[in-house]
Amino acid sequence: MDNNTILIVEDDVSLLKVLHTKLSEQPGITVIIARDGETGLATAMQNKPNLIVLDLIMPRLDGVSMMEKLRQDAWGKTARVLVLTNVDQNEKVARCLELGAEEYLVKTDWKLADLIAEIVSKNT
Amino acid sequence: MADLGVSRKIWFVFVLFGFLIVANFAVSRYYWNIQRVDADIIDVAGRDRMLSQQLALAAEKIVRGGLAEQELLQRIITLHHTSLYVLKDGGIAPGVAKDQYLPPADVAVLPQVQAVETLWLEYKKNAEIVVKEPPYIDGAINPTVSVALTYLEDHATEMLNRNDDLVQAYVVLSDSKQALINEIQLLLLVVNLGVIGLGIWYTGLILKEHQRHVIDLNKFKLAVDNTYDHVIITDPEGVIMYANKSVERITGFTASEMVGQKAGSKELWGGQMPVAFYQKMWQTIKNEKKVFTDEITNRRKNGQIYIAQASISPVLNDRGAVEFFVGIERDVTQEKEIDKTKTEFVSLASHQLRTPLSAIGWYSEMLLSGDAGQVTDQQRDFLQEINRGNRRMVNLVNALLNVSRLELGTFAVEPTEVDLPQLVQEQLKELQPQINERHHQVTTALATNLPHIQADKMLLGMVVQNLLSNAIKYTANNGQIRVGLQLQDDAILLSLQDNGFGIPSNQQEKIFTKLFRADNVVERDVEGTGLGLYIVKEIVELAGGKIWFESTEGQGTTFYVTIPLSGMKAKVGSKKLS
Repeated sequence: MDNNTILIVEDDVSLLKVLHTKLSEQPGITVIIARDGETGLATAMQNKPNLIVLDLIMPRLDGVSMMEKLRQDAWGKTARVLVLTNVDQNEKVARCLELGAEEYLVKTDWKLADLIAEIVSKNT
Repeated sequence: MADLGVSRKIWFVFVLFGFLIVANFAVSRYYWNIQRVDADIIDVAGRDRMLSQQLALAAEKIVRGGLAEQELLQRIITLHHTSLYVLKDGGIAPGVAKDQYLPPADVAVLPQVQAVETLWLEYKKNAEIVVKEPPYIDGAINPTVSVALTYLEDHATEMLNRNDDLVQAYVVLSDSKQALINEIQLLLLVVNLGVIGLGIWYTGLILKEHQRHVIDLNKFKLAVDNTYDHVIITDPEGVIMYANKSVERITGFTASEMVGQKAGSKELWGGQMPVAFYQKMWQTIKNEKKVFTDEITNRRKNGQIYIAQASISPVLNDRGAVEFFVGIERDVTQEKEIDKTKTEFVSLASHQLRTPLSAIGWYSEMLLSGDAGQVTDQQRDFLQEINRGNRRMVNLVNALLNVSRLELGTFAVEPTEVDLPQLVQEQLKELQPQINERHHQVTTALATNLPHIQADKMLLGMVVQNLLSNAIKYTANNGQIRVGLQLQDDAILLSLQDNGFGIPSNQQEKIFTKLFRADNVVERDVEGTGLGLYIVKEIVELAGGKIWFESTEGQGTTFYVTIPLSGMKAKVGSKKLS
């Protein structure tokens, strides 16, 4: 898989649409998407993206559980994950960082342009 | 006596009674001895009286031809003589009490003794003549013997009377002694009764006290037995000696299954935590001899896992060695679940509320940046209003989440060393863009002698940030803001003064109320959630500090906050306030 694929795992369609649109505009970046943890995990294993932008509260498999499963995989063990969520519960933040998340971002804290720049910078 | 143990007090009473018995025995023996000696003396004196009679009779028989009586008379003379001198000078009287030494004559009877002695010496001399001399010479009565016999006959009555007097004198002396003995024994009886009474009374007191102790002890036992928390007592090796009813209720093990087993072992409710946890626990309670408190996961007899808040205290003896351990645990599984539910609720609420706000914000940004084509000036203006409204909504949601976390008690407090002047400077730096925008002039008066305190930097930062941003927002352009920090006896005083709009006097008491906003700032259309000061007050009070203000409408406001030097206590929570 090429080095510039970003997988967005996000259940909210409108947010997914914004992120997909804005990231796809970025030169050289391929964006793939998943709308729940289960699909996200399968997609990640199959496509081995350079960066996974991961929401936490999702149907079927939540973000933390998906990350736990991902870490059991040989490739997934070192996969780069950026948590992007609106949940800012201490334990969840701690758990995600413990599982090796690059960053833990709260959506409402970010202006769209800044957020896209941040994701792109993490993708390098 | 109050600090002596019951058994020691009982011993004290026993020893007192022991002394009393010995004293009684000694006194009785002493007087019994006196009485016996007196009786012996009277015996001896009585015998002498009798001998004096026999002597006269024996002498007469000799004269009438009873030569065989001479030997008897000699024995009588010797016995009377010896006895008389034993009575006078003291000694052992022959044929009376066995080897009983009799003391010399008391002064009270000495005249009578001497009266007997005077007559006796003469009497004896004549009696000896009767014994030694032949009663007849040439068929005629021996004149010497006749004279001697006449003397004996003439003085027999007097001899008897003097001996009588002596016996009487001894009897009187003995009676007077007996009267004294009686008095003393009466006194002894009174003392005995007194001491026995006192002993009984005191024993009663001791027993009463003992009973009270027993009742107190029973109360303690009942209290511990029935206390709602799990209470166990173990020996220094952790082997259970006692477990109260709650241990049975919580763990499901019976007392007989627990006593003798090692507390918290796999066979009982333990073994659910990592080995390092138990090592640390033993290190704390056994080696450092300190109280260990922590949350611990245990397993009931039926296999169910539960969470307990445990505290284990070593109880030390006089030499500082561990005598036993007291372990108290509270089953907090339910509370934990409730806390988790509350936390989950706030967490989900934050997610649900913020997600649409994220959409509104990001889409309006996209429109503004021309992603859907060029926008007109008016459209841009409207979109900016949408965006601004969205921002306010985000702030309000964040503030409301903080309020609910404060009220649910599910937020974390993580104290670290805080340098307050530095914290104020950081907040000023962060708010510098807003200060510049309003062209305010900010001065600081931060004391240099302030100690660092243990506090949650983020929470204190929120306090300073809220108060400072209020001063910036609620002061007209080109305002004056002054931030001060000074050391008080046991606290640090933060003061924040502005020459802004001030708080209307009739609304000052509502200023810390949730969602309240003063009329004069609402009129001026200054943004705000009405939650900042409520949150600030909650945090300050959580830190054990105080907050108050002085304000005059149109002139400005000064907020004061004290933070105790003792700092803030750590608290585990699901979320830091943000």
